[in-house]
Amino acid sequence: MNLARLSNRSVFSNGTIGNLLLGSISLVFILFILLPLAAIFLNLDLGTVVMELQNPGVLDAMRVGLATSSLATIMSFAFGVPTAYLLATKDFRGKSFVDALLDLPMVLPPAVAGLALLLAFAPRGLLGPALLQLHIILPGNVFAVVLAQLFVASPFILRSAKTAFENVPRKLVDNARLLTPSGVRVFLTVTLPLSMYGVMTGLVMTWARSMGEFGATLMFAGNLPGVTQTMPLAIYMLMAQDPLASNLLSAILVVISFFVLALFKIFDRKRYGVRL
Amino acid sequence: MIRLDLIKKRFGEREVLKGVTLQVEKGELLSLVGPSGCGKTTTLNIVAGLCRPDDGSVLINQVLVEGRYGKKRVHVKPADRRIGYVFQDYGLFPNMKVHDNVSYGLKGRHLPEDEVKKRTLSLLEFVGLSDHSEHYPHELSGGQKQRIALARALATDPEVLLLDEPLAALDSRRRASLRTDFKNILRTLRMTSIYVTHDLAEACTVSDRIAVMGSGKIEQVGHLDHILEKPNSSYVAEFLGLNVYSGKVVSISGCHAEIAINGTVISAGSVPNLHEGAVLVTLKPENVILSSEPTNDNPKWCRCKYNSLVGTIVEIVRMKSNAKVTVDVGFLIDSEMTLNSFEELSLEAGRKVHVHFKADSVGISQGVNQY
Repeated sequence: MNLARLSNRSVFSNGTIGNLLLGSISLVFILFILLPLAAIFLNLDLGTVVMELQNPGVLDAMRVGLATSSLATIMSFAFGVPTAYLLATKDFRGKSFVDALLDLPMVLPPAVAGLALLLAFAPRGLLGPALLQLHIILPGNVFAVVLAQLFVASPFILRSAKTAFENVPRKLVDNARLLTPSGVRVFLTVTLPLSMYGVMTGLVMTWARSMGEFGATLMFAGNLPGVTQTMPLAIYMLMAQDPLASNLLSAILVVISFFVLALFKIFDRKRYGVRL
Repeated sequence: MIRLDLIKKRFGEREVLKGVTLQVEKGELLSLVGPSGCGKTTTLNIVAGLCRPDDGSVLINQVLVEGRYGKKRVHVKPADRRIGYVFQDYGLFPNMKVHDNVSYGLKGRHLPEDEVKKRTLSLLEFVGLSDHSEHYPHELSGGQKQRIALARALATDPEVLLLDEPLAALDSRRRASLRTDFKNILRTLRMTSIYVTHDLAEACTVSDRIAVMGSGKIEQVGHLDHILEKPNSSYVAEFLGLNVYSGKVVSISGCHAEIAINGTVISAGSVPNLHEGAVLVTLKPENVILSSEPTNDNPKWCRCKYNSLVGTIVEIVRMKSNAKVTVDVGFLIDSEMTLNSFEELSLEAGRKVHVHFKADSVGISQGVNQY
């Protein structure tokens, strides 16, 4: 293909009409995405914000939301990082099957996730009788919120950490193994520091997904204000009684999401930025 | 001493090592040379314990570190083999400063802190980089990185040193200077070492003995001169860059033999026990002289028997200081000469040229692999 034809391949490359069309289509789409986000903030004024920030319903939802998603993130670190390491570095029978199954919560409808958790952990579920013996009733308990969030957000930490571990150059790990007999030391001083940004990206995404979890939490943990009512649940419940409270909570979630995205971008850029 | 016995290794369908047997004497530096993908690095990784062979055994200083002891499978952990390993792409930990890289192995051995510091500093001095200890690896040049990698490998006081193409990632100018540095350092250490490279010149610079590796097997071990004089297979001869032919001994008279290659008969110096039949013929390209005259008027040559053939130039490759000319004289023959002689002869492809080489410079060996 010669150069002239190559440059003509793009329909919009020559003529102002083409550029105009391209610009207007994009503008419509960008407005469609930005307008609802702007609406959330345009509807608020400082007076209502100050007033609503004293609303116990809003404060409880924030407290429950922050506490549960932070705990879910810590648990995803404690269990997800070792699992990701196992999947990234060891070979075992049925590994690719397990690997694929672990992605399922990412695409599973939240209602299905909620029902699945009920059928497994509710008093009449699979593990229910055993949990009852230990006097644990999950539905209606704040811990159920954590489990619902952990379940739904687990693929984020697994994917991210697994890719990060796989990207640690094999030679560096080999070199460390030659120099030190302790596998734990190799992991802590070489593998983990070199995959840190990948793991952090996973944690940030897990936290964000946990903050926004709605369906599974509603079905499995219930909607008890001050106990299991997280921010998205409160937004939904308060919409009729106290629209401004629900508006404020939404605005807070938008701001949080924005910062999460910024963090994600920073970590993701640095992920492979470690110079070798 | 390192001893490998019939090491076999498969990666899926591919048989990478087909029974590698090799011995490196105590204090000796042996170069393992061969083309890319012939299994050199896998062999090194097996010695280090980073890769487990399917079969065969490895002994380091008379200790079985890999293999079978009775019915038991023995595999000594890499860190317990007392091995220093220098990787091709340095393998420095990018998240650690130079001194942390060098002391990494020492810290894993629970030595007192001031001992670790003292040793790290003396190693950095040894490789001439003591003022770089606070730098990160990415702040160093390739040559500096490789010297740090060497210091780190030596830190744990290994009994055996393994070097996997340590200079391959450097540009040619740095490579030449670091090659000399490495040679001097390795000579001082007098450590049992295996030096893997695909570059024959590098192998000659640093080592005493050379092992030529073919696909998955050691083809020949010995001093370079010996291998050049008597390559035991056409594979080795070709790897060394010699002219290699399979010929037939037509007649033997006294100290000379007539050999037919592709129907062209040449004279060669005879060897003991030579008999008629198939023979492997080798000839160093630098011993092949080209001229526009049918006879060679070099006074040094008048007393000895030499071959003069006529052929057509097929290919000319000009390099920095010399040129390689391929001539078809019934078989293809490579001649290497300095650029000066090349320009004097004003050679070009397609032209006729006379080819001369002494009968004594023709190497012949019988009863060897001619694949």
